[in-house]
Amino acid sequence: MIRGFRRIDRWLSLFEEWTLFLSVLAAMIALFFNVVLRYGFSYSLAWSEELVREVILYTTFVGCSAAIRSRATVRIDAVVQLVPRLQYPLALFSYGVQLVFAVILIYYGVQLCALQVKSGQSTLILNIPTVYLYALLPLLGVLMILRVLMMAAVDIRARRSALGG
Amino acid sequence: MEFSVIAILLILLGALAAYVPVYMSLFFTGLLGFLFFAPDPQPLLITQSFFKSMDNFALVVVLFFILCGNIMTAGSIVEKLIKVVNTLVSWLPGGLGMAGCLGCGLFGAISGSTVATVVALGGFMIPALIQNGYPGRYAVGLMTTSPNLGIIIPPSISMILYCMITNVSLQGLFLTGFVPGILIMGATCVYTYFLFRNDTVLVRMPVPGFREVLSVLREGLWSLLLPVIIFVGTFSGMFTANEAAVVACVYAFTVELFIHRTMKWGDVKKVIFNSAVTSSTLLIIVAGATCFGRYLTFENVPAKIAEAVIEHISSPAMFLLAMNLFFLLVGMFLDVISATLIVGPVVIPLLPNFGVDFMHFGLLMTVNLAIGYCTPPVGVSMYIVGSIANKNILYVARAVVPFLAIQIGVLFLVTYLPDLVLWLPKWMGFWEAIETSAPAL
Repeated sequence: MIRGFRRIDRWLSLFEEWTLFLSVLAAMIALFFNVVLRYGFSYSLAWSEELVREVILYTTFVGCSAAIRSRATVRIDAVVQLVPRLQYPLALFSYGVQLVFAVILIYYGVQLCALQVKSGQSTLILNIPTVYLYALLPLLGVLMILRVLMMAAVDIRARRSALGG
Repeated sequence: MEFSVIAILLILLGALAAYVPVYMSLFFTGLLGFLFFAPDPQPLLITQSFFKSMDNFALVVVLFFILCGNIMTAGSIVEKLIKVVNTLVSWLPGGLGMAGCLGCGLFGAISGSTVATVVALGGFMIPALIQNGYPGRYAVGLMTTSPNLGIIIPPSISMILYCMITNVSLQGLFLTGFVPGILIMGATCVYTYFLFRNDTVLVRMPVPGFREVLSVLREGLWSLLLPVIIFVGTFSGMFTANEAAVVACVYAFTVELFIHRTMKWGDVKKVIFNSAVTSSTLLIIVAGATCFGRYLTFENVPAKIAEAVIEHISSPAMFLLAMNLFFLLVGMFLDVISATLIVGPVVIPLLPNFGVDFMHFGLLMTVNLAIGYCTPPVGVSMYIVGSIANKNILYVARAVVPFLAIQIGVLFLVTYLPDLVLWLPKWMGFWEAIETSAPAL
């Protein structure tokens, strides 16, 4: 199982790294050129604002999955620091809550996607069907389940070997 | 307040204490509130507002100011800024400590986040201070509290969020941050001066010659231009805040890649990826806070609190005092983003009743919540510095006391002298009297 996780982890990290990098780069270039065009040629890109909004949606939701791996998710570690003995049980509890959250995201995310398909909505300027944007919710749910299981496996193994050794 | 709201607040605090990610704690308690107490709970709508709250152009500025801070830290801009400041003050008693504080201010003038400032400057200033003979407690206290300048001095994440929920001009609110920022830096430097005036252990540098200052300035010129670009661009109306952040990133990349050459092309991807992850961890809290805020609005909490406050408090001075104490308390438990988005809409409708200016209040909220970065039990900066300096949290809590006293002093000064901070936006034409506010949440 661990080997399977490692392979998934590699692909997932590659996917997160490249898509996040490229989308932020795209937003940066679009906004920068918007400034250059406005002052140099009194012209502005109508689609840049929409593109940037989509980039924010994408980076926030996919970034959340990446944050689980780098343990960067914002959590209050007051209790964990003051009572180190609680660290392990609370970490497991927290993983459990994250799994529940992921399932909620998938369940309602899919329903929201279905609603978008039914209404056939798309974005104003770039004409992207909104279902692709809402698909980020179930996507985050799936990524989150994978990430949480991996991190939990790492933690449990570390705990076992610490107790055993 | 009824049972339902108190129960939900307790669940929120419990979830936060139980190591559940902040945004999930907010989302779940909001959801539970609706499930238990709403006649017609619609979890689908809550999930939708979780998503919709991220579809906001104004949020991009958070991403790019974080990116800008990370580029500076990965390259050598931060180092060069510190070097400039250090050359200017190192001949004074406690000079290196002053340099640490002023460096935080300068970094805060580029980055909008306190956490970024703690990580960027605390990491090398604390060991440097201790190596140079400064007491550990001073070093830890200074470098835990000075990064508060990150959100007090513009740009500032909490000011951006405050402007999202009110109609206050962002440029104007940014301008109010300069005076308290400079006061805090000044007071911290004076405190440092008197602390080390008669100290014989610390090595005092000779007064730098004109030529030395000139050469350091020349070396740091490209770095010093960065805040200049941000401020001139934003306050002259050339750029919006978003554009200023993007231009600053492009400038910082250009300087690091082509002029300082301390960053390699291969680092670009890593820096951008890391910044995207950091900004997502902050922005997702906005989404969670939106869900929780919806529950509070559903329970009509803002109106109930307004009623209670108006009934018990009569004078504006008392109101401001109560707000300061309230926000210091909130800052002990909530992070800056959730506090702004949850508590903001609750108290902002009260302002017209007491004749409090919206822009002034935005600044007060920012300074209050900045102080909350350094107050136990939930003081993010304390934990970061604790792990950097390898000290436990009680040690850090004691170390920050004198510095927090300075900041609280400045807070009360700007609370009761609104003109001290408002003259700048008024003079530059960014201030206007707002009669009503429209909470957007």
